[in-house]
Amino acid sequence: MSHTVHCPSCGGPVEVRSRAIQLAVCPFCDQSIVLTPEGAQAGGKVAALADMFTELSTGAAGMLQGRTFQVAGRVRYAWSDGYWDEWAVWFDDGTEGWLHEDEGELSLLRQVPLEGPVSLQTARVGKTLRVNGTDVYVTEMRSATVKGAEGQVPRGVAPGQQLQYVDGKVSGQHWMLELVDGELELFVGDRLPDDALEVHGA
Amino acid sequence: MAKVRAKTLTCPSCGSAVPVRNVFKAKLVVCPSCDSQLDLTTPDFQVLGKLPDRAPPQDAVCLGLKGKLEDGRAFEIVGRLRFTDYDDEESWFWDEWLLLAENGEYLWLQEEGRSFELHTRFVPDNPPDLDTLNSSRLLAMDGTEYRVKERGTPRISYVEGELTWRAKVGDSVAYIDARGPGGGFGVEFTDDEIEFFRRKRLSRFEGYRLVGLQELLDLEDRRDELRAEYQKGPKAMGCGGMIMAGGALMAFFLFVVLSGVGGYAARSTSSSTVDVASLQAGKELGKAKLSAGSEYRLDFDAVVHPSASTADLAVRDPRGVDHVVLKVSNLQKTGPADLALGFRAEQDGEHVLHIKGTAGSLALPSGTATPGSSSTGLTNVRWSVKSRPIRPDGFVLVGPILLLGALAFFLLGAGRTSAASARAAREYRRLRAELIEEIHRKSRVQES
Repeated sequence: MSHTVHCPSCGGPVEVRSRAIQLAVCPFCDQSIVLTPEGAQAGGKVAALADMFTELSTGAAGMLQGRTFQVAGRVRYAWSDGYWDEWAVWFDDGTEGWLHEDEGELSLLRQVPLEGPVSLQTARVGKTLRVNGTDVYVTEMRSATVKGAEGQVPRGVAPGQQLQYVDGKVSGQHWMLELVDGELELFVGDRLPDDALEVHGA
Repeated sequence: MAKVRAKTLTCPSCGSAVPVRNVFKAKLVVCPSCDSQLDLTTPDFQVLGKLPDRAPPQDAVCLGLKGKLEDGRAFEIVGRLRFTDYDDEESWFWDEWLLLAENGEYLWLQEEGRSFELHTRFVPDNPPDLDTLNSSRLLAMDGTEYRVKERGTPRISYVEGELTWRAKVGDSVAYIDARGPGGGFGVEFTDDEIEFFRRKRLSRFEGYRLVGLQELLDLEDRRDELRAEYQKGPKAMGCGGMIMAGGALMAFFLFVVLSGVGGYAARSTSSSTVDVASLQAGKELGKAKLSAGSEYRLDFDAVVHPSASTADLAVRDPRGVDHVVLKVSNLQKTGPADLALGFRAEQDGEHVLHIKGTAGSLALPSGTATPGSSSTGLTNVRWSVKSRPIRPDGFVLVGPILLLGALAFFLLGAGRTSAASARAAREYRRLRAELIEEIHRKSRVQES
C-alpha cells in the first residue's frame, strides 16, 4: 500500500509504493531517503547511475515466467573489477523479488530468513558453508561498495556503504549472503534462462 | 530479452571507433587503435591503462573470426587473454579466445601451439572441495571420475578485444586440468572466485573448422599437390625413390651372390702333400656335396716337383664318371689358385676330387728321388670347390663399383627427394603466411 513521505532535504512529496520500501531516492533532488519506522532520514545525495547496457530500467514493466512485474528501483554494487545491479521488482500478485544482474546474467532472488548464525569468516571459495542447514558451495566472495541507487527498494542501504558478499551454489540454485552494517541477509533463487525475461520499457 | 547488443564507442584516449560486440556483458574493451584499456563500467569509459606491447596472434586465429558451434549457434571471437606460465627452466604461453555466441553465452577457445580446446562454463551439481582439487590425483564429480593432469598459476600477459571483467595484465589465476570422459573439466580460481569449465579437445583441423578457417584447411589439402608439383608429377617421386632404393638393394644382392661369399661347397683345410707314387696310382684329395644343375668353380694350387711333372685333376661324380679334367703342370708357387675351371654338376650327391699323374710324365729320373718322398710329387696342395663358380674375372672390382654406384644413385635420389620436399615445404609456408596475413587483414578491416 503506497504512502507519501516528504524528502528531508527538499521537502518534495515522494510517493512510496509499499511499507516494505526502506530506501527511496527523491525524484526532485536525488537525495537518498532512508525509511525506518521512526520516519524518513536523509541518506546523502546519490549521483545518477550510469545507465550502461541493460534492458531493465526503473519503472519498466515486463513479463517473467508468466507473471507481469514492474521495476521499482535498483541498487548498484561495485567491486574492484566490476559491478552488479540488483533490481527491485514487484509482481502482479503482490510478491516482490530481486533481479540480480551480473555480467548480463539474471537470477531471480528472494530474501529468505536466516535460521541461525553463519560465520562469513570461515567461508572460503571452493568450500562449503553451512547455511540454514544446507551446504552451500562458495563460488565467489568479495568486498563491495554500494555504488548508488535509484527509485525505491526494500533494502536499507546507502551509497558508499561497504558490504561483504558470498555467492554460492546449491544444486544449481543461486544463494547469496550479504553482510551490510553487521547485518547478514540471505537471498536464494534461480538463474533465469536467456529468454525468460520480456521487458516492455518504462 | 535480447542478450547481445553491439555498439561502437569512441575511445576517450585517441578518438577512434571502438566496436563492442556485446555491451550487455562486456566490462573491458581494448581500443584497437591505441591499445587503451577502457573501463565499460564507468559512464565515460575511463582509461585504465595502455598495453605496453602488442602480442600478435600465434597463428591464424584472431579477433573477428566467426563460426558455428556444434549445436548450430553462430559465434564471433570477441576477446583474447594470453596466459604465461613458467617453471625453473622455461616459460610458455597460450591464448584463450573469448567466443560470444548469438544467444549471449560465452565460451573460450584455448590455443596452445596448434592444438585447441573448447571450454564451456558450467556449474557442477556436486563440485569438489577446493582442498581435494588442490591435492588429489583423482577427482569424483557428479558421479564421474576424473584424473588431474595439470595444475598451474599462470599470469595474464596480454589482453585484446573485450572481456566480461576488468582483467589486468599481471593478474594470476590458478587452474586445474582434469581429464576424463568427454574430455574432462577445468577449474579456474582465485581467492575470490571459482569457475568450472567443460573441456573438449579439438584437433588443429577441428579448431580451424570451428572458427571458419576453411581456406587454411584447403591449403592443408594442397600440401601433397605442392610436393608433387616439385617432383614433376604426383607419382614420380615415390616410384623413382623406390626404383632407386630397389636398384641399390639388388646391386648389393648381386654382389653378394656373385662374389661367392659363403658359397664354398668344399675346400682343403691345409696344405697337403701328394707323393709321386700316389700320383701315379691316383689319389683322392677330398669330397664335396654338389647339386645337379648347379654351377661350381674348381680352384687348385700346388708346388709340383719336378717341374716337368703333369697330372689330371678330376671331379668324379657318384657314379664314378670324371667330369672335369684340369691339367696340372709346372706350378711352382703357392698362394691364390692358379688353376681354375667352372663346371656344372650333373648328379646330386658326394663328388670326389681326384688327381692322377699323367702316364710317363712322372717317370722319375733314376736316383733323383725316392718314390714316396715328399720332396717329389705335389706339395702345398690347396683346392676348393665353390658354389658360385662363374664369377667373371675382375668381378672383385666390379662388385664394389656396382654397389658404390647404386648407393650413389640411391643417395642422389634421396637427395633429390629431400630437396624437392624442402622446396615444397618452403612454398607451403609462404602460401600459409600469406593466407594468415590476409585473414588477419580482413579481420582488422572488419573491426574498423
